Amino acid sequence: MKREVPMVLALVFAIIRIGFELLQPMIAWEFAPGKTVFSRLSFSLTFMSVMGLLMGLINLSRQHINTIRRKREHWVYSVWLLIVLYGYAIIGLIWGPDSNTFIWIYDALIVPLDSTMFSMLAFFIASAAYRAFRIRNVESTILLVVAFIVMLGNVSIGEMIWSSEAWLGGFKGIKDWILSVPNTAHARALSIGIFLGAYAAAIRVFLGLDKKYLGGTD
Amino acid sequence: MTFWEKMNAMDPRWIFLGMAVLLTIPVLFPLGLAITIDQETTVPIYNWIENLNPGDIVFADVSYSGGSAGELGPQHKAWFRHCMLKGVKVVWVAQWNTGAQLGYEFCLEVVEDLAEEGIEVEYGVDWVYVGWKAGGTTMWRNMQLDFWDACAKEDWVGNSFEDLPLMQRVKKWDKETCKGIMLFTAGSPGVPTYTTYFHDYDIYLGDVAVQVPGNMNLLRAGQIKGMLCGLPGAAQYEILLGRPGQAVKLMDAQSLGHLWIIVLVILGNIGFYITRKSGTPSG
Repeated sequence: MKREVPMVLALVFAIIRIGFELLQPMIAWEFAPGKTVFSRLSFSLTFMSVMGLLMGLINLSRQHINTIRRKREHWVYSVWLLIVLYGYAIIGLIWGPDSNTFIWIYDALIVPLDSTMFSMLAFFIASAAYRAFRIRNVESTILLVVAFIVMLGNVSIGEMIWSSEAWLGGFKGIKDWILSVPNTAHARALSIGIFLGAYAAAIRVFLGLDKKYLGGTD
Repeated sequence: MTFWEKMNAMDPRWIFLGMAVLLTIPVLFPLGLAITIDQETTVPIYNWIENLNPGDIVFADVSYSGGSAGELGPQHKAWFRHCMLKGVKVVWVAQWNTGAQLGYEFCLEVVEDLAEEGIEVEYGVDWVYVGWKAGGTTMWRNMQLDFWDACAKEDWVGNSFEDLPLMQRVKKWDKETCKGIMLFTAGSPGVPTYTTYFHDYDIYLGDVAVQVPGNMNLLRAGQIKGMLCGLPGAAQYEILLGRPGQAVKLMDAQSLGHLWIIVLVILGNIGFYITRKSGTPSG
């Protein structure tokens, strides 16, 4: 029963949810004036998502408390993580998310740290390009030529070297063609493949063929 | 040790220093390199706002955080400025919790700039910042069903929707109310929320450069109508507005940064070939 009940629930709610999305008249079913059955069902997903946040918080805390208890490598970082995690949450709970303290921490720490992490990519890409981007065969040559064209087609200096009003539309014209034709063909093929895979995975869960989400080994 | 062997063994800190210098100098002393306006990606967004009537309502979404603010911040500000100048009303939502406050601050910066120029923009009348709401992608489906209920009838700073005149016109997020959606995105959740639940709306993107190739197929298919592509997109929009700003200034830095990478790749390959011929192992 421990496994059958969740499986039946998954199937029933999948049918209800898909039915509501596919059959338009069902969306208008009201259980009270202005309150539709579908909106309540949809809100239940929101509650589940919020519960997921709570589960994440509990799980993260348990893992890091264990790391601290057992004094695993870099356990000090776990202490710091818990201090920041609960400290920021407590500040938000006591003074509110629109308090000056809460916003100051966001503006003065979170945003600059986030920007710094992302900005460092420019430096590491430059270093990696120098050390690893080698013409060893035909494939790497194609990759290099395409990378040069797309990079130059995106910036003003590319326009200066080979103008978009010149033959073939310059770097920009070729870059646009690369993005619009070969790139689009690959991206669309990938998207279709991913969605077909996701549908197949969802149907397996609905039909009870995939039970991994229930725990256990099968 | 030959010159190329020394080059191959170069300390990466020299590369970092070169990049830092090339990114900093053009910011301090702009070079004024020409910027071409992209007719297929940038212009449709500009024309969309130009062709709206004063009082029309559009929705905008902040799906980014501080990491992408360098690219999406200038886009956000230029586009919002355009809306305010045209009298188009904007309702902001945010799919990313980590960027919601940042998006709000960018809007305030635009409002302050406009006030300095003598253009008054009123919160609650010309724009409302609903911000982030817990619940993930399904929350956006709920917003379609009952916008007020889904948002708990409250904006980002705690104002009740009852007190905001613009929200009296936005009881539902439907095609009658919303004349298009502008999404500034740096990842997930982002575009799929709108291509799934809002597929029959006119959707426009403000995208980080790294995501542009991945979203280009949506533009070709007509699922999105226009796209601001990274910093160049922001710079082009600023030029279309006739007010070159932060993005235009940063484009020179980006040009030199790209050029530095190209020079490094060429030098790296020359070194690789010369040292390989002479039998010395290299990168």
